[in-house]
Amino acid sequence: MTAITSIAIYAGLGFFLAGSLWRVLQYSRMPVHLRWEIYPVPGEGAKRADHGGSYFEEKDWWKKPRRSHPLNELKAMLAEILLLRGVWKLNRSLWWVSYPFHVGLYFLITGCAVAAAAAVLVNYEVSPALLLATRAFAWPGLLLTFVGSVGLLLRRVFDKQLRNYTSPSHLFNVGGFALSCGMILAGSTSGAMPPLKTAVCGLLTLQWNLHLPLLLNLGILLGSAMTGYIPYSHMAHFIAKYFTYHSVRWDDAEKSKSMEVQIAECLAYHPTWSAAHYGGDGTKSWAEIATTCPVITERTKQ
Amino acid sequence: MSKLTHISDAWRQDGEPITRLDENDLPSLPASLNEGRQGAALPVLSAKTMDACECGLDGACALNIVHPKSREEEEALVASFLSGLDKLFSKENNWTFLQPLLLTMEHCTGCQTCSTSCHIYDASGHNEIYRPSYRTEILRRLYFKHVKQGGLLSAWQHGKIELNWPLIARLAELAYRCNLCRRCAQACPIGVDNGLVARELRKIFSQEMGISPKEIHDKGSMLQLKSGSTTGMNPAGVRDNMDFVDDEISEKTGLEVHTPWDVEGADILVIHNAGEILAWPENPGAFSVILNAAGIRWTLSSELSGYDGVNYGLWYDDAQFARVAMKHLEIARKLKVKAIVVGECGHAHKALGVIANRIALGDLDIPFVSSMTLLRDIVAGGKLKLDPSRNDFPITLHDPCNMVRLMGIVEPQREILRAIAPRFREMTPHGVDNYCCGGGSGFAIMSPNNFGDWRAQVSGRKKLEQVMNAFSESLWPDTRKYVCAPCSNCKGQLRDLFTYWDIWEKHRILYGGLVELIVNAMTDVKPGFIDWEWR
Repeated sequence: MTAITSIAIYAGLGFFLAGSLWRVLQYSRMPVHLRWEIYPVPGEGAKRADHGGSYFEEKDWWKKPRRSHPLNELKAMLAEILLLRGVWKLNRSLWWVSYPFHVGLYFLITGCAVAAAAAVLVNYEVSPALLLATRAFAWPGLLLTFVGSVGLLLRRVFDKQLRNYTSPSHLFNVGGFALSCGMILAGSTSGAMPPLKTAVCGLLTLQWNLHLPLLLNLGILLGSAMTGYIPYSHMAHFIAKYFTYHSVRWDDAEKSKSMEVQIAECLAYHPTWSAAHYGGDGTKSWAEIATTCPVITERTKQ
Repeated sequence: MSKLTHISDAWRQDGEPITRLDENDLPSLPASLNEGRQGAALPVLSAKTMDACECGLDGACALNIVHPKSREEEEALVASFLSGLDKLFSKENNWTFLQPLLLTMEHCTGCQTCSTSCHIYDASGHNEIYRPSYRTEILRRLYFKHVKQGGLLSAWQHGKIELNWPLIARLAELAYRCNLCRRCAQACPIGVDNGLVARELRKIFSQEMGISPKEIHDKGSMLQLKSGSTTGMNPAGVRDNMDFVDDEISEKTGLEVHTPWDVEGADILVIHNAGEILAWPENPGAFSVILNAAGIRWTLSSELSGYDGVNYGLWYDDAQFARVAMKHLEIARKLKVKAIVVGECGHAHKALGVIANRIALGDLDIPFVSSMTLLRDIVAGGKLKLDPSRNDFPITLHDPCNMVRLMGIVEPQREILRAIAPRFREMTPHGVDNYCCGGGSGFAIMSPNNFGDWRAQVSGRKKLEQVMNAFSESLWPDTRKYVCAPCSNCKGQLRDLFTYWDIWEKHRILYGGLVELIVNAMTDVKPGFIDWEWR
């Protein structure tokens, strides 16, 4: 059983990494799109971003070099990632369940990374400290994720506004996290739990003779499956968010040479929209369509 | 309170509206405005309209989509919609917005944070169909089922959907119950953009099915491409009208006002919303006064489409957008100007300044300058002699969404008002957090059937509340008040909104542009440039 659990951990991680990579490639390979930013854009710098201003407010802006302000952007990102500032400001009642869930996951991810380090460095002096740190991150991580996911599940079930937009998979997702954390918590506190060092090293080094409590095994199995499934569901919004912010919402970038090449490629596409005024019969490029109007041309001929 | 409308109601086949607006559900307004108004928020559509058109959404009708006459016609319409849906998600057909659209389709968590920010949802008394995510949820389910071919797994993962003609007809109307102000997108923690979804839906209907509001397409972008302006003014007509404006403004100001045309090598090409010339001629006239007084080398263009900055394609159709934008850029290139300045028109600002930016390559990449910034530089540069006491009346500022939240032009207009309007006060909220006037995305020019009532009762309600609150200490009619709205579209909406609620008669609140206030404060202009008359 534990051997299966060990394999599941690596499989879950593998699926997660492969799925995340697929998502990143999917979005980064999209054609360049038209500008569609929303202000404030923190890259404009604190002075302008505070009131939501842009370079358009500046006299003769095109005669001056555009400056980017990555630190200001980072500040906005950290507030959003670490504090869920947007939800806090506009959807406070949801924040009380969403925040523990997300922070719990951050703790769990950190805890898993530290546990892996502890297993790798098991023969070094740093190992006990790493095991201590594993506990310090894993316990609050499990508790917060459990509380958050149960809270989210209850909101989905009992809040009629959310229920209208809830599919079975939403319940499965948060329910899966709640169940997994619950089983790991229950299993870890049972009497059959071996020392942490034994459990961590055994699981990560595929020791077939390791015996863990059944609930812990099941919890890790489910947690691994959930981890592997994340990038293939809407929960991959941690990846999407990078693109929605940097490639859409905050993207007021000047045209670079490479962007101009990409745009030129797009202008050569042959759209096939069917409405008469569009004129997308497949023979004209986007650029040709943008400079002619078939309905007017036809009327002029008549 | 109306009963909760479910997603599944959208494909109901009974032909009845899936919700109806009741006055009692709408947030209250000051008592003076509610006198004599009770019951249904919207007049009931005529039997003729109901018999002829699809009116199955909310008892309002913006599009006049004719019922299919046969089963075959209905099936053909469904097939056409499906074809458009596929194209919306292909890079050859929709490279312009594919990435933001896919991100929106695939990553909404359904947290409904967006709803808290939508003025329409709020002003409707939280009617479910106006929730920003309602139409997005329908499109998302269609996308996963029909574009991604999700099968049974799709229903489990993303929810059930049944595609039929009633759903499509309701979706078409629903695409025109959003002002595209994108306040919801600004609020979304993930960056999902429900405003974009409304626009992209409009594209399926226009670009594939040939369905769009007559006011925006036939009498809008098509008329502009054909005759030069959505007003119908041809090049000769616009010059005649501007000559008349010059005469009128010369008489009114006591200055010799002359508007320059087609000056090659001018520093800037000014493009007004041509509707101003007919509806609010004092606005382009005031521009002429200011630019001449400031000694700017400027010009208007009398070339076809060059004298009308509007670009309705921005709201519903990429091809129509690009055609008009390319004409504007081409005209500026031919005139060899250093920059294009768009007058007081929010969507024309965004069309040329932001959206057209990436398709303007080579020598068409001409710098865009906002009239707000130019005017700020003129006022701050001390080129005009100004007496703020001439504007000694309560003034508040409406922020046009396109110019402010979607372009970041926030402070210049405020710097001007602080300099020339001693009794200027902000609305709450304002700046990039502003609320739309309710006329955005073409609504200001759309009033078929009872849609004008819907605009006044629902989409404009929040703005009305903001205006009333901004003047709360002086609402009585013996104090004249001014809402500065530096956008033609917003002014059109405020005109209709104030007329509907009798705001001028009851509270003496006037709307107008920014340049009128500047000229009103100019000491070498005869006093009283602003006409305190309702138009």
